[in-house]
Amino acid sequence: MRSLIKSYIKAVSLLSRICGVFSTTLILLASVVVCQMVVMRYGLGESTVWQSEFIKYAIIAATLLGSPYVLLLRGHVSVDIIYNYISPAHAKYASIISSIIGLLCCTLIAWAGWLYFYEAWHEQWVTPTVWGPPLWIPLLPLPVGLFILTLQYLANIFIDHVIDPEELST
Amino acid sequence: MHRSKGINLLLPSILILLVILLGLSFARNEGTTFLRASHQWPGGIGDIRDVMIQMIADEVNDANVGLDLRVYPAQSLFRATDQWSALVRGRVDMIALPLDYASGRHPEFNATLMPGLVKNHAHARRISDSEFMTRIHNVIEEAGAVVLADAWLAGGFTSNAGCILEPEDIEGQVIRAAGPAFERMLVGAGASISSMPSSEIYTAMQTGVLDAANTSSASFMSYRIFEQSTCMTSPGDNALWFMYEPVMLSRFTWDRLTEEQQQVLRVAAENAEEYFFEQASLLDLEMERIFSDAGVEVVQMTAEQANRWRDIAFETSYEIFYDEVESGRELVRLALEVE
Repeated sequence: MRSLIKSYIKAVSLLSRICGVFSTTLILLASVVVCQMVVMRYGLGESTVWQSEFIKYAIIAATLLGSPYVLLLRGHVSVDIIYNYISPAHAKYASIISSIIGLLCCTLIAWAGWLYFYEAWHEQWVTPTVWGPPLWIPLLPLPVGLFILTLQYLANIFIDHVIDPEELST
Repeated sequence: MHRSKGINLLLPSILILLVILLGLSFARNEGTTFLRASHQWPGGIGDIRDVMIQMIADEVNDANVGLDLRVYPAQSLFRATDQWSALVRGRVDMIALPLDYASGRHPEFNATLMPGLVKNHAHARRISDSEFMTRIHNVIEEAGAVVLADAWLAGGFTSNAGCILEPEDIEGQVIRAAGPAFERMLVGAGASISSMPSSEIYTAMQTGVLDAANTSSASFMSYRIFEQSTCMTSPGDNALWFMYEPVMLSRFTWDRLTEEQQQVLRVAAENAEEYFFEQASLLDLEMERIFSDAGVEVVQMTAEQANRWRDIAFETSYEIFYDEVESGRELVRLALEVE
């Protein structure tokens, strides 16, 4: 059982890291497109159509796909006002409770995001713009990012309360 | 000790609160159907579409047929672009919407902001009674909504980087135009595009995201775009920009109403539509006055200038529409047939 949990943690950590890499790539890509847009519009005097829309979607996707990686590093914003007032023993329960709430919220959003994605994919909707890419592409990062975030929440609960971090590295 | 005292007070107060809430909900629900109407424009300052919906609400509420319709303006219920899906899913009962905002789901809607398709306000009214409009209504109904009132708004160009009269004037400017069909013509003329709902134009022009914008005369006024413009090309006699912005009811809501309630809604909506068509052409003059009072240069296209834009539109907007929509060619033919 413990070895199963350990391999789960390792697998999810890897998945979150892949998401992190993907998210970084999207930010880089968005930056390149911004530069391309500036050169096209002001340098060459050409018209730009798809760039602003692409950048918007890329940055939203980077945020959603980057979230599991941020949770892996525990880089997320956390409010510790309650933790400061309770004893360490109580803090342990508080952290389990907050992780479970986080996990439930993410599951819910991931599920709702999946329904939205599936509808857009099934109905072949496009975005109402001149470029008009299929709508499912910008919608996909929501269920994927939030699903992996859910997995990462579960992994964090295991790391905090079941498995010793040192045990994990061996 | 302290703790148990708190609980002693807590339980009865929760119980009392529940009883009050229960009583209130019974009092509210007795025989009354509550309807929520959503739109994106500012409320209570005389925006024609807000006035239309408010007129319908007043008439329906005064009719004493067990309907209580409340208007939620300025995207207070749903964001402008989310209203369509909220409507067809029954999450909101009524909306007034620039229909082309939903063209990603129903490409036929692009015909309702096709440059140069509608020639003037009288023509818009005749189009509303034509076979073309029946086809559009059918698409709306199949999607899950009922059209209560038709409205066609004229609009123009505004810019803070020089007046837009000839197609060459737009080269190098970043603009938005409410829908892809119109924006394709602008791209054909050499413009850059940044798409957004009209509620975001003010901030976009202020921050330099947009140099120029197309929207309706009513929105130009309600969103106070004159504060961010230096030159306005008003619709005048040669307007290219006409947009269909109907008042629609969710199919779920419609089926829930009694025949009497449906009848009252229909009549109220017809009155609002009548009022709208009386006011529509005055809106353009009102907008010109407000813009020039604010120190904005106001110009109008000549027939030749408008025709040069139309020629670009026939090669871009129309061609792409024919390719994308199976019945596109026929839809446009039906609209052009209306004299």
